[in-house]
Amino acid sequence: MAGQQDNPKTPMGGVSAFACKACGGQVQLLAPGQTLSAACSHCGAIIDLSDDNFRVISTFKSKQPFEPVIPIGTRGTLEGHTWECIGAVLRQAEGYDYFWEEYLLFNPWQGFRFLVHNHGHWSLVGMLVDYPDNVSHSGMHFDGHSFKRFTAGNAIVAGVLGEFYWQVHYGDTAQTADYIAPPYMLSVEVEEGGMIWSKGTYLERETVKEAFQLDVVMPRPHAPGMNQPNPYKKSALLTMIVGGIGLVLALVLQVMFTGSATNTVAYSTVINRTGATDTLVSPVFELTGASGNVEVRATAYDLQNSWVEASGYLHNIETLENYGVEAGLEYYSGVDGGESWSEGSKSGDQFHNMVPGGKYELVLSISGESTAPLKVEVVRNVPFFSNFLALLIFLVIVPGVYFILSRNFETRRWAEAE
Amino acid sequence: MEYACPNCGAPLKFMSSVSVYTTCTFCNSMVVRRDINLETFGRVSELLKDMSPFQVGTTGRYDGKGFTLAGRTKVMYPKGIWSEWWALFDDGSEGWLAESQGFYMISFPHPDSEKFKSPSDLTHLGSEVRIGDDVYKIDDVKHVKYAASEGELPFVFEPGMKGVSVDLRAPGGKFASIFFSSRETQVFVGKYQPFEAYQFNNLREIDGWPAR
Repeated sequence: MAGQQDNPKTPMGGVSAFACKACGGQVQLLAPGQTLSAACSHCGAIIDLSDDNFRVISTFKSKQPFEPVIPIGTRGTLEGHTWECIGAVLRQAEGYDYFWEEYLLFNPWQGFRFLVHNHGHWSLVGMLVDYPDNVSHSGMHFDGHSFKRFTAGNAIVAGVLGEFYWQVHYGDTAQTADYIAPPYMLSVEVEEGGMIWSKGTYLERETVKEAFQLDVVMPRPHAPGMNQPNPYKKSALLTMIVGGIGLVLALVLQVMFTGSATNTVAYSTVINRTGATDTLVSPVFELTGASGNVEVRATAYDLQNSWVEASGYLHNIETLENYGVEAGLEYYSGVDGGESWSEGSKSGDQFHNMVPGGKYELVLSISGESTAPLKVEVVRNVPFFSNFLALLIFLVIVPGVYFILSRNFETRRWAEAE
Repeated sequence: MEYACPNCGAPLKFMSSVSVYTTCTFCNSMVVRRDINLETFGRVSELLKDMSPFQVGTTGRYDGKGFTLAGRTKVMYPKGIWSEWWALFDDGSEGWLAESQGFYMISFPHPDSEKFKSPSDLTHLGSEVRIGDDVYKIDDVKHVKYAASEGELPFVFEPGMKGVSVDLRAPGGKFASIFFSSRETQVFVGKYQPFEAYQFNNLREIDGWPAR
């Protein structure tokens, strides 16, 4: 045993401040005894905290500007625990001009978490004890979610601030791979001596800002985040469900109405027009049933390059209630340069829903230049397909739009993948 | 059992009859107990002012039994440090509570140590190892050094003592470690649990953080 004994050194802990060996500046520790290396805030030299003499283990080689969004020493609350940001690493995808930041959070009872900031997107990441064994090239099932492989590559330590529970060096390179099941992601880092798996959960940037009470403008994302929940997926699903239910309901109602649609003509007449204003006061007729719809139709089959207008009301002679009627007809046609054209319509109508049954008369005043005979009908319980069609289109279009937005989001997300 | 520190005369208490080593809380002497005789052999370095949530005397519960932390060693390897707290259970059994970067693993000695002769047999990460009824996978192999101690321990702590620690895991948070030193091979099996699950009491107060 005696031969194996080193000099009893390494007072890990005991000091919370010391002078940097490289520049002489004061280095302050936030988690003394819990961390193994720290970057000097003055010169960037990384110091071995397990060494009695605070040996410098790495110095700044390429100066990488690194302004942390969360300043070292800031505390915030996430997932019900208070975290202190004790370190930050700027990492670079090897071979690319692509950087992201990893903030090291510390809580004396909960240990460490990483807050990863990647171009406006944030994730809270923790190391896993239990991790997936069944990893295939495309991904894996883990924790009840299906993770898809997103990206893989080498990550380089390009910038360092604060202190760490491992010995960090500038230029440290780790092989990484990421798998996603938004809002979750699984990441693996392979390095000498083992693999480290961690699980991350997406955080809105405003959540991070609020948690750490940051007085900054949070960087905005320009593209979907790797594990950002698809903001349209929920709406697409919801509107599809609502649309589906609505469709079934509409169908049932339509069948019911069509079934009860007797489409009976309660009154019909033809007015031979003089060209002046004609008045129609119909004899009393019966609208059957307790309640139902009524359509007053006016049709002039011989209407040609002219117009006619009928206005008045349906009058219930028992309750004295009136239902207004306005129907305008105009029809023009001709031949222009060998092409025949027409516009307008030879018929018009007025529709009322929920008209009680009873005895009615129709009072109309008919004006217009046309002398074409005008057929006027009062039809009880007409089927209404047009409403149903409009509803159908609405119920399909809304989920359709969300579905396209959602698909587009996924396309843009995966465009960033390996 | 009450003793006096051979170095400074301060009272020394052993919580467990199996403790052979303790540190004097007054003068930091490292004290070895041989039968009824005590010997000192130097002092622990001024250490352990870390932010561990535990202290000698912290109590907790596991598997329906209460335990008290009697002492710890601090172990370091090139990539990190952790503490191994010696836990004395109310029913007389012993275990170790490993405290590592916010992970808390409780483990107990397992008799399978005969099976493992050398750490060189266990270097292949991911390969399967049977301990008792469970099949574990090798997770991590670390060359470690005992860096510091406090309180009492069931072995004589020698600062700088080296060894190889092999961590293994099985599904469901099951955890095992095999520790090779020049003295012996020890096997431990246990479990990861979140901090709250141990129902700790008499925790250490941590500078700059609210008491719990």
